Amino acid sequence: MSATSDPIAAVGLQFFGQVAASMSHEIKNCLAIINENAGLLQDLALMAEKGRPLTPERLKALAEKMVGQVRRADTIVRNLSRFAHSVEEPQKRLDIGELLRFTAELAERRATMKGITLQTAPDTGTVQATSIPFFLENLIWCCLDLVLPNQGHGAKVGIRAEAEAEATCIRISGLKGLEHAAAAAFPGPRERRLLALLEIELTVNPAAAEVVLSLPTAITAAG
Amino acid sequence: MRVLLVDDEKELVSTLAERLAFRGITADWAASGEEALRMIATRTYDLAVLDVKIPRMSGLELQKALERQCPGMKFVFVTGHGSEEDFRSGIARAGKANYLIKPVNIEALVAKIHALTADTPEGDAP
Repeated sequence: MSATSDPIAAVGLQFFGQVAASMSHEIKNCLAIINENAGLLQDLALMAEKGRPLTPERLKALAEKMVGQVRRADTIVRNLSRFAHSVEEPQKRLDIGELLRFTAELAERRATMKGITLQTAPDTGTVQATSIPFFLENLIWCCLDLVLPNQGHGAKVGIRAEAEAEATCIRISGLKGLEHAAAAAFPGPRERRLLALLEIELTVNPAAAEVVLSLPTAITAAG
Repeated sequence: MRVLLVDDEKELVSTLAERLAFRGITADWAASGEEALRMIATRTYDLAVLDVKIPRMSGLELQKALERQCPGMKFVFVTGHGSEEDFRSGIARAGKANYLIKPVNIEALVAKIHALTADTPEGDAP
């Protein structure tokens, strides 16, 4: 596979690599914390052998920290597994709100590193469309890639789905610096391939401080 | 000797600080670059252990800011990222010997801290 022989697969592979790298970093952090706390237990045990008292409360607190990190890592791995399996999923009926919440979880670390909070709407299950989940996640990721660098520390970016008569809309709102995005030739080749595949219309609206993706209720092309 | 640990994972740096204290190294910790810069305004540190990726500023950017306020401060970089690009940029600033990948072996970190603060050739070797 190459960018010329299978361009959409190349786009997807790039996205997959970015998400996998981000999640592996988070898992490393969980392991590092577990490693330090296990090492601290060893240190305290050594000191207890030499007569320094070790209280049950201290042991419990350390155990709870490690359990907490195991749970955190398990959530990350579960998301990674769901993400990896989404590559295999063909075109299907999707709860778009739920997909947005999942994609926001995948992108959370990237946003947090810039001091930005991603806000999604609560689960209602009412906004649905037929599309290809992996590439729709990919396109939302690309949009976030474009807008996050311009938001600044403390910014809150909203991501929500709305059902309209003939289409479903995904709105990424509360955005600063969109005039720069529009000038930066967005959508670029990567995004244009995704927009064509998913039959989505993209609007960058600096005045409303939002990016809007208009999805058909069902794409006509095969996944 | 006093060491400053900087990582946005509070549970990591607070535990590491305690373990370093057991090994005779006084360590304070900060969970952000901004907090680290506030701390060095009021206290002198011989060495900083910096995560390469912390929110809002990179470890390398923080190093430059710390060096401006504390010329002569030594640095060890730590990362969980493990990418080739991060490794290259890390060793470009810190030297290969001063760049560690998480989870960190504490004895290796302690040896590195002692070597750097003693100003020995081992600590400066690429």
